[in-house]
Order: sequence, then C-alpha cells, then structure tokens
Amino acid sequence: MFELLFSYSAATFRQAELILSTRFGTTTLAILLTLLGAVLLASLIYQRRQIAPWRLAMVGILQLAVLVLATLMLAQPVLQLDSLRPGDNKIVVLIDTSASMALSDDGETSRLQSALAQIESELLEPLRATYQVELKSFATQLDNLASLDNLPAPGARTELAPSLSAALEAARTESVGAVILISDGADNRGIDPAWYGELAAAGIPVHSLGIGREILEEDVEIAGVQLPQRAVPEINLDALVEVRSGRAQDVQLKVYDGERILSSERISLPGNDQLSQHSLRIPTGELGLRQLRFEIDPVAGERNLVNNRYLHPLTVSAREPRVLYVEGEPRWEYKFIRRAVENENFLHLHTLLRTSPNRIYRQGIDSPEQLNDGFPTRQEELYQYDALVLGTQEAASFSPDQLELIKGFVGDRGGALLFLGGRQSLSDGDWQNTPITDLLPVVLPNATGTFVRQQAPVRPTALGYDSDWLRFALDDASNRERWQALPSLADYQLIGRVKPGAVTLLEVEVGNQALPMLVSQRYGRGKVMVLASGGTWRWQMQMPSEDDSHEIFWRQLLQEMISEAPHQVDFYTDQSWYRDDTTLVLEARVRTTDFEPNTDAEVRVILVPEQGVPENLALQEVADEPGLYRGSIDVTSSGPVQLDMRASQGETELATQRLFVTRSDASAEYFNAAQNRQLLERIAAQTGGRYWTLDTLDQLPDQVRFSAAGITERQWLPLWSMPVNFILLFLLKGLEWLLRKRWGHI
Amino acid sequence: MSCVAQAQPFAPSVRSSLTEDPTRPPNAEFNFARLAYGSSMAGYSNRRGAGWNTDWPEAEYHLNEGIRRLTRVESSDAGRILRLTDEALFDFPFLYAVEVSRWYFTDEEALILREYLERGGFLMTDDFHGSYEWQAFYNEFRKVFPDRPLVEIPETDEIFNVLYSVDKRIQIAGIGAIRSGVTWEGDGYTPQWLGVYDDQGRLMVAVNFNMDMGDAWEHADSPYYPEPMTALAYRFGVNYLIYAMTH
Repeated sequence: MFELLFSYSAATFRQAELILSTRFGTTTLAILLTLLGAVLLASLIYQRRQIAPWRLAMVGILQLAVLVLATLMLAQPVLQLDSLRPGDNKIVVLIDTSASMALSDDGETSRLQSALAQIESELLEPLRATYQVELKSFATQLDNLASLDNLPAPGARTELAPSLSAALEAARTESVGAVILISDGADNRGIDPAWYGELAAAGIPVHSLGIGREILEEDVEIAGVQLPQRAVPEINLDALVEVRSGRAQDVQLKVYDGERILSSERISLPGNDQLSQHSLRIPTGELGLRQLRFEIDPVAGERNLVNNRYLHPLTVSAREPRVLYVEGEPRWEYKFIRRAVENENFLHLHTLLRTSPNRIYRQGIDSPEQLNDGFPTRQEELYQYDALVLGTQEAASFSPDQLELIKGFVGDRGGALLFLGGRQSLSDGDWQNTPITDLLPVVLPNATGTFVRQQAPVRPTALGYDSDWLRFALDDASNRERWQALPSLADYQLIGRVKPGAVTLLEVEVGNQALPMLVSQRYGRGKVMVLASGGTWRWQMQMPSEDDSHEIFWRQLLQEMISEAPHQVDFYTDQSWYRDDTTLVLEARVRTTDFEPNTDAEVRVILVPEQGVPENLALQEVADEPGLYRGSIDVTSSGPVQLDMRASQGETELATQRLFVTRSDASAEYFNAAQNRQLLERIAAQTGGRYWTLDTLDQLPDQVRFSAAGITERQWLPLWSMPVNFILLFLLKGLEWLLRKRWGHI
Repeated sequence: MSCVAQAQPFAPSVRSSLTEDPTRPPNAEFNFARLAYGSSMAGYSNRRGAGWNTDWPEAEYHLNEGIRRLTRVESSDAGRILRLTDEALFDFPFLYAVEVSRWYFTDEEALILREYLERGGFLMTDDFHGSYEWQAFYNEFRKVFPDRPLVEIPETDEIFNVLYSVDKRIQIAGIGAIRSGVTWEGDGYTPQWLGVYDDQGRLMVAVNFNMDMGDAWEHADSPYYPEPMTALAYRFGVNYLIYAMTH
C-alpha cells in the first residue's frame, strides 16, 4: 500500500536523502508562491460580502493547501540514495550451525532445518539474482559452505563474535555489500562491549535474521550459581541460584553431592523467561571435593533437559580465616560473641581480654606463645589476621606504633576492623584524638558520656534489610518479623555524624530519634565498621535457648568482615565449571608478609585430571600487574580436575593450595537456548543493518541494496509523480467544491 | 590500751540502699544477683533465716568491692535480689544461691532455671554441708537437670585458673564453725567443688559443697574470721565471675 501511494518502499525513504531538483531555483519558487498567495488573498477579500467569514477561511485554507502542494511538485523533489550496483557486489551469508541451532522448538525438526526452505526461497534465490552470494557457516570457527545441503554437524559451542569478526575481516579485501547473519544469538564466550565498536568500524552493514523462539514456555533452566570455589569444612554456605522459566510455576530445586542430596527447596518461578534468584543453604561437610550438582526435575512438556542441571565443584579445605578480638574488660558481650562463633569452623577466633590491670587472658590461641605479650607490636604478627575486633578499651592502652599498625592493617593489608561500643570505646575511650579517626565511618563526638547503659530497640535501615549478611531469613517478610521480634540491646553509644561515603545499616531507636548503630565504610584496601553497642548479648539471654538469632548475627557479621580480606597467596581459576571450554586459565596473587605485591615468587601448579596424566605448569608474572601470576593449560577430558598450587620464594614455601574445577562436553549450547534477539538487534544497529525475522524475511533481499559498502551507484528517484500527490490535489479541490455547493456559493 | 574491732551488720537503711529495685535494668556490667528461692519452711520471705538471704547484703558488698579492686569488671555497688519468675532475671547472667539445701522449685521455676542456664546464664551455689543437706539440695537440683550429671570439677579446669591459679583446696568454713574451732558442719568434712557442664564442655553451675564462701566474703572485715580463707574465697569468687563472663 505504501509503495502504491508513494511509488517507493518505506525503507527507501529511510535510507535516502530528500533534495529538490527544480531548475527554477528555490527563490523563484518562493516568489511565485508569494504572488499566487497574494492573488488568492485578493480573491478571498473580493468574496467577503457573499460568504460568511468562517466559510471563507475554510475555502482559503483549502486553496492555500492546493497552492503549496502544486508549488512543491513544481520544485521536483527527488530521493537521492546510494545503493549496491547489481552484479558487482557480494553478499556474505553467515549461518550459525552450533548445537543450539539444532535444538527443536516444535519437538520434531531443528530450528535451522525448519527455516532452511524459507531461507532458500525468500532470501538466497532473490539475492542470487542480483548479487554474488557467499555462504559461510560458523560454530566454533568460520567455514565456507557450498550450499544449504552441505551443512556441517552441529558444533559444540557458538563463538559468534570471533566468527563475525573473521567474516568482516575477510570482507575488507572484497566488494562485500552486506553480511547477513542467521543465528539464534547464542554466544558462549561472552562479548566484550568494545567488540561492538569494532563491528561499526568495519563499515559493512550486518543484517541479522533471528531464528528460534524468544521465550521457551516449556523450558526451565538453572542459568547460574553464585558460590565460592573454596570453603572450610562443616559450615553452611548460602548459594544463590539463578533460574529462568518460560512459564510461572513451582519447582523443586535440589543440590546433590554425587548421589547424596544436600539440600532441597520448593521455589516459585515468575515465568515469561525472567531470571529469578533463590538462596539455598548448603553444608560443606568434610575436607575434600564436593561435586555439587544443582538440579530441577523436568517439568511438563520440557524437551531441553541439559539445562536443568548445573555443576559447581566446591573445594573444602582447612584454610580458616583468623579474627583477633581485643577486649579491655570482662563483659557479657565478650562471652556471648565467643559462644556464638567459637564452635564454627569458618574462622579461628583469637581473643585477648584484659581481666585485671596486669593480666591478659587469651582464648582460642594456637600455641602458648601466641599473643603472649598482648596486642601485636609487629606487622607480621597482626597481618596474619583477616579481621580485628576492638571492644571497650581506651585508645591510650595502645602505643602510637600499635595505632599506626592498626591503620596499616586496614589500609594496606586489606583487613577488616570492627569497633564495638562500650564504656571505654570510641569517644569515651578518646579514640577521636588518634590517627584511627581517619578510618572510622563516623565523626566521633569530642565528648565523654556517650555510652548509655539503657535498653533500646534496633532496626535495620533499608540498606540493612537489603544486606544478605544481616538477614535472619531468606524471604523479606520473615526477615522483618525476626528483626522486629528481637529484644532491645542492653545499651547504645552515641557515635556522631556518619561520614559521606559510609553506610548506615542498623539504627537504634531512642525516643523519637533513630541513631546510627551499625555503620560501615571502606578504607584503603580494607573495611571499617562501628557497632555502637556492647549489648547484643541480650538477644541471647532474652530469647528462647533454641533461638539462633544472636549466633546468626555474629556469624554473618564476622563472615562479612573476612569475606574480602586478601590472603598472602590467593589462587583461583577463571571458571569453576568449564562447559565445552578446553582452556583453563589459572591465576595466583602473591603478596609479601606486609601484603605488598611479591614479584619474586615462583608459582607452580600440578594439574591432575580424572582421566589422563598429570601436567605441570609454571605460572608467569603478568606484565604491569606486580604480584599476579597467570598461566593457561588445555584440558580435553571430562570430569573433575585437581589443581595443586605451590608458591615459593627461594627455598621458602609461601603457600600450598588445592582447588578443584570440572569440565564437561556438549553442554554450553543447551543453556540460554532461547533466541537472543537483543544481541542480534544490537549487532544490526551498530553496523547500519536491520534485525529480521522469518516473517519479514521476504523484504530483506530488497533492503540489502542500501549500503555504502561495496560498489555502489547513486540514484535519484522523482517524487513529483507520486500517486499520493494527485490524490491529495483531487481531494482538496473536491472538498472545496462540495462545501461551496452545500453553501450555495458556486 | 588495746582496741578490738567488732564487725557489725549493716543497719536496715544501709541494707536497702545496697539492694537495687529488681525491676530496674542493670546499672553496671556486673550486678551481683542473689536468687530468692522459695523454701518449704519460709516461702519467699526475707525474714532472717529464710535461707536465700543468708549473709545478705554484706557478702555481696564485700565481694563487689573486691571485684572492683582486683579486676577490670565494672561492678555495681548494690546487688539484686531476684526470683526465678522475675522478668528481669535474664538481664543478669550471673546468679548466686546460698543455703541451697533449703531451696524449693515449682516445676515452672525448675524449667526457668534450666532455660536460664541453657541460654548462657551461670549459677553459683554455696553454703550447704553434710549428707543430709546434700540430699535436700540434690532432690531439687534434679528437677532442673534430671539428665545432666553433677560432677567433680577437675583442678585443671579453667575456672580455677582463669585469673588466679587457685590450687589450694582448703575448706572455707562458715563463721559458726570457726567459732566452734572447726572448719566443718554436720558430717561435711571434705570440701567439694562440683559442677554441671553443658554440651560444649562449659560449666553452667558451680556447686560449693561443704564450704561457705558467703561467710568468708561477709566477714572479710572481721578480725575473727581467718584472713587466708577470705583471701581464697575472694579468688574463687573472682574466678567464678571471670569464668562466667568468658565461657
């Protein structure tokens, strides 16, 4: 219809530039339009006695419209556009032949097979009439393709970005007018945002033809699992599981270690292909490898079952973080914090308690000599800890060197520091007049008497409610209920103004005021928190003995503190589960005892696959990243791979660590299997092409010609003769005649 | 001319000022809390001879002074008197019970005491002697812990070493026995330090059998009471408290 009225397609109008080709010149036309307008006005004035003014105005508008339209036609407007010269250009058609294209959307034929006939008749045949067509296929690499009858076997994974880049690179030396990408948009490597810029720079339009359904109603997929690679024994880890579902439904999410079920929970999925996150508590168990398998049973009508499983190897090792808790006087808070975490395996809690003016009582220490002289005075002694808790103790009990040591512990070593409220804490301990004040997330008041032994209820702020480590329950409603059910704290402390950049997570309610209770901020490489009370022990004594709120609070708070503290040697891989990928990238970050980058280390990894022979790999220091050692190695066998890392410096062994990863074949393509339209649209938009579906495919061959790439020719398409011009002239004059006839003024 | 000091009990007005209103929250980190148990003889009466109020308030007064002098614990001047049914009980994690052969628990009270201890509270019992009083004490104690054994605390236990290394196991006698020239009462010749441990190996209850630390604290300023016993009783008391605040 559009083309009938306007002579050319809408796409032609979009691609072309509108210009006027009249020989009279625009000035002449303007004068002519003005003169004719003046004549029209004079005619209307002459008629003003016979026709009512509003009727005269309507006639005038209609006549003016005719005048303008006629003048425009006289101006001879044309569409100027560059298009591919027929016969001289090549069109490259890239066909995705990865395993995901072999998936069936209807349960019978594959995505690609069901589209082939249409691609041949509506795309390739019309293109061949005008252009030279070059077929290529890609999965893991780009290959030439003789015809659609010779498609290769489905590839194990899709490397869309490198394949498209290779095709564009090859096209630079030929007169390629456009690239047509036929794909479901799956890419298993992940796309660097900078890649889109490279695409645009190639200057060749890429038209993308999306294959496959955008929402797989019948499918459920475990899209990802957030869980550390390593954990200590006998603790519970919270795994965050991302699940995608085509329709809203409830399913059972289970976690296995081999054949043993570790956890199971009923979860609700929102449907419509939305990702939802679900938290699941997983016991780490004994030392060794946990081959965690997250699984959802097949739902009705589901065909792709590979993506109902997700593997995550968890290395359970005895590397326990250490926390040093220093308390200036015996108090209940000390006792109950110790009780909350002393039997937890996720950390070692060492405590120093000043029981009398001359006695320090140590608990949780590894040897009789440890901390024998009280608070550490040497860097290597303090830096072996990941976190430091300072109870009620006046600043003057620390030497200036020890205060500087604490500052370095946070800023340089990356440790976490927690200040507790108390009668000799914070302002009442004169901490505001020490170098430590720089670290604090609050501006301490310069006053005494800030510690108030008065019970007060505590509530999380909005940020606090959002913090995973301040949760008592996974769902929001239960979490709020548990916070509201907590008894008041035994006391609170005024800690002044919260510094910009710090976050308040808990507040204490005093009268009508909400005062900051738990405040946190980053400092240097580490983190500093203030918990302005020494009275959380009331949660333990006031709640039933089976209630674990107090224990959960302290376990999670300390876990949060140690979670980001770096170790002297950190060893990790780029993935936990290598799906089809054969290259393992291994990295180790090595630091000296004062936590500066260690550039003089030797890092070796012995790689032991389940099948095959062990291999030895030396990690090399990465240029411009002191202390970072990296190496990669290819593994083709499936199953768990044990990685034994040893870092040394000269004859001194710095650390040994064991880590497990796992790899499997033919699995990546079954994840995220719906058509990734967003990616295909973005590729087209970046390159000047368009996104197409099988429903609009018949228009693509005509559109391909609009390209500045390849060998082009300039065309001028006249617009004065468009049927719509004459229809409009007829309608305008006809309407005027009808009105005049109705008013009796012909 | 020689002058002999005579220890006098506190006058009633002093007594009341040394005991805080039990409904008020703690006014210091440590408040000596004395258990006012029911007695088959005297109920909860505070009259002389009720049992639970023996040595009150002088014992806690002197002990509090000692705690302040010898440790860094912030200790209140005044003690508290609490029944097991008082709502404030759980704000005071250290509880002292004396003459426990006379205590009596209803089922509800026994449950409360057990819950108090399982949440992390600590109970010290004192001043009962001989086999007859043992049986009376034990009958009620079983109501609280029918399934937890009451065992001898080994000398190596942390409670005897947490601040002071208390290795002298002498019998700390009551003032009555001292006046009679002996250290025992009834057939309680041998002092025993007994306790109940929780599942984590922490002491929940410390039982002083055949001894009277309360009298040793109460008569700390008496020239007739042996100073070595008072000194030892202070050390035991301080250790019990520090243990309760650290374990």
